[in-house]
Amino acid sequence: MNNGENNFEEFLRSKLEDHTIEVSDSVWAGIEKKRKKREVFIWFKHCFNLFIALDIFIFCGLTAFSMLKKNEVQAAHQLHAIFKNKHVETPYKKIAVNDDEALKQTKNNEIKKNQKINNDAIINSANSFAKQKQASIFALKSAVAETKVNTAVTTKTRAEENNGTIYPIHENTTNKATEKPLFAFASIKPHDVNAILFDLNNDIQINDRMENPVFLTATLVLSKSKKVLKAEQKALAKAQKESDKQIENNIVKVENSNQKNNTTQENTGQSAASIEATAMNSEATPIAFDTVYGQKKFKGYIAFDALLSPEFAGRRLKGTNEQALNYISRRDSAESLRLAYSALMRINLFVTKNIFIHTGISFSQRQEKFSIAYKWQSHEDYIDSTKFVTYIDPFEGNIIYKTYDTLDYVTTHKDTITHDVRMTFIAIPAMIGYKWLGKRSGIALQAGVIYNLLFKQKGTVANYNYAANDVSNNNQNPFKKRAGLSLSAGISTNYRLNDKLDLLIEPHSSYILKSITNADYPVQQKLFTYGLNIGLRLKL
Amino acid sequence: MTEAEIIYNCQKQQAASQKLLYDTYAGKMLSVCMRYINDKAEAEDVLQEGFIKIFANIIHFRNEGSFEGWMRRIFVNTALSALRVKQLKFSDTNDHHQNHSQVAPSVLAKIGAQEIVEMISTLPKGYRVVFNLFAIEGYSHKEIAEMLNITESTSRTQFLKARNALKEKFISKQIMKVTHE
Repeated sequence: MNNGENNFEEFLRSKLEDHTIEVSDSVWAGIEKKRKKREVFIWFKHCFNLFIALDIFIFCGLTAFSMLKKNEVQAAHQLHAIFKNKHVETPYKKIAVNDDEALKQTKNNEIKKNQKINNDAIINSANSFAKQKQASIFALKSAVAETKVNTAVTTKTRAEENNGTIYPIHENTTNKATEKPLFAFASIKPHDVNAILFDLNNDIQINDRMENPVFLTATLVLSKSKKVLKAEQKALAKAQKESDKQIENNIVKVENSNQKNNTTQENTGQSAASIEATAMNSEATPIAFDTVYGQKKFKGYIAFDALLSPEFAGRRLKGTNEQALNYISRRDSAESLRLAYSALMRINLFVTKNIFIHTGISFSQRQEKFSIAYKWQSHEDYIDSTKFVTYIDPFEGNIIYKTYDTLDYVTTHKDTITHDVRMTFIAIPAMIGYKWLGKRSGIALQAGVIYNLLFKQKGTVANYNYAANDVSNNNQNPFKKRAGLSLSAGISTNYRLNDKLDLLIEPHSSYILKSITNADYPVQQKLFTYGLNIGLRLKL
Repeated sequence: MTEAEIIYNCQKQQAASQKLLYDTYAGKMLSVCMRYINDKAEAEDVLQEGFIKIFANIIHFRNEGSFEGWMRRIFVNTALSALRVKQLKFSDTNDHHQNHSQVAPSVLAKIGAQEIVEMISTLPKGYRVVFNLFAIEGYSHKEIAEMLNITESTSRTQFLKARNALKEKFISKQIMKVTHE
């Protein structure tokens, strides 16, 4: 019975196996319509993903940047409030008046129109005092912080902390010789000390990240108990001593700098600094500030890089069976130098003076070409040949020719297979870096990930079973369709060509985390590259 | 163009190859759909949905096993979704009445595939689904139980009932044919 029933089912299966029913035309029309809709949807999805990724990237950058800025702005506002409430005639006002006078004299000049240059001028005026050795204008005593200095504080506590760290110092900031006081205060952060000049009239903050040793003598006081106050006084006295010492050093530095600038000024005669110097009736020439490399207040900026890189293309092979291991050893002996190149366009966001993030798009190609001798055939081919041998008769002196027949010609053959594959990668890098700046050049360490969008191959692959397969045939292609994620790190050096352009040279390396061959392919191949990016950076 | 080439091109989303794939398999796959869904228009909707799924997911096809089998599985699943099989009512009564009558081989030989499809489509939904999955597609009762969220014994019972019902239909067809002749 069972047999009969099984036959019945088998009969049904065989009858229905190739059975077809006519399909109406509307079905394909519907498929096409939906397919097109889906294509549009996928395109939008990719765009949306890219947009979100860029948003996150920009948001992170701006958040980091604004957090750094927030402290300084808060400090300035708080100080403004202190002086307004206490009706203190700020010493800085006097400077401001002087500045106003100076500015009046150059009313029609560019400096009046340009707030940036105006700020520079005020800073420069401070430097001119120093130059005249009427020193104490920058006798900024150390600031006092009442708070716990913790690097890992939340935004809120950080803001509170800043309220405590801003401390106006004005009793000793007068110029002893001219009795012209200068208002200044210090802002102390866990890793940074800023000098802040504040213009109460115009509500303009002139915050210069001065790497002046005077400000590095700041002392942190944790509470205001008697003990602490005593310690505070001690610390202040110590700071006073040190700062006096450093002021002297600073003055020497300023003098040197001014001497240099004087030379430049003679040539140009147009700088804002020179105008200010004239206005102040001073011989002093201000320190020239650089927009990025110098000491001027840092403003986050964006830069665009275009880079080309020759690369050494390395690979690591791993076999999962004996045949694959045999193939790897033969391939290792046959394959030597592999070259590649990459082109990279990227956009950098300099979040702080030192920290930057960048992303972009990279295109790279590598060529793998080698021949593997996988089968040696040694065989002998005997051929007839005739050897001529010449003798000289020792007695007669005649030349004797003799011939010998030989049968001794041996050849050796080998079977080889050629592997010639060109791999193309398109990827998006996302990196973070830390930069050290010099006067004209900088060096940075950078690291991050590279996400592969496209991995294409072309050519003939020598498979582990010594068959030459065309990779355009999907069945024979051992490679994945995407190469996955890579880790990348490098050193970036830049040389400033002008205010807008930098020359970049970056030794770098990257490593693809997963094998680029399919999981079921017995030879697992991981790639890495060492290269040298050379290109230009345009600061936007 | 070989099947492998068509698949490769479809993986690259080439429209011409997709059409070629459709032309090759549409009729066959509609037959599969029709065994689960009575109505032709509804079956064509399933066919359309199934092909869209195939074009979207063909990139994941790794040439492991038969491509037709892979496609057939997608169409079966799409048809089951369309039938909302989870809502199907399967009566689990122990009705062990079995029709042991045999269908004469001469009758079987005369019956065409279209007639078989029509006969299967007249079976009640539950019978039809289980019978198709077990007898035609070759799923085990365990797999069917998982797919339809029923017990294995229910699957077995439904299958036996479906087979008996189908045999009866064959026999009545046989009688009708004989009467005609």
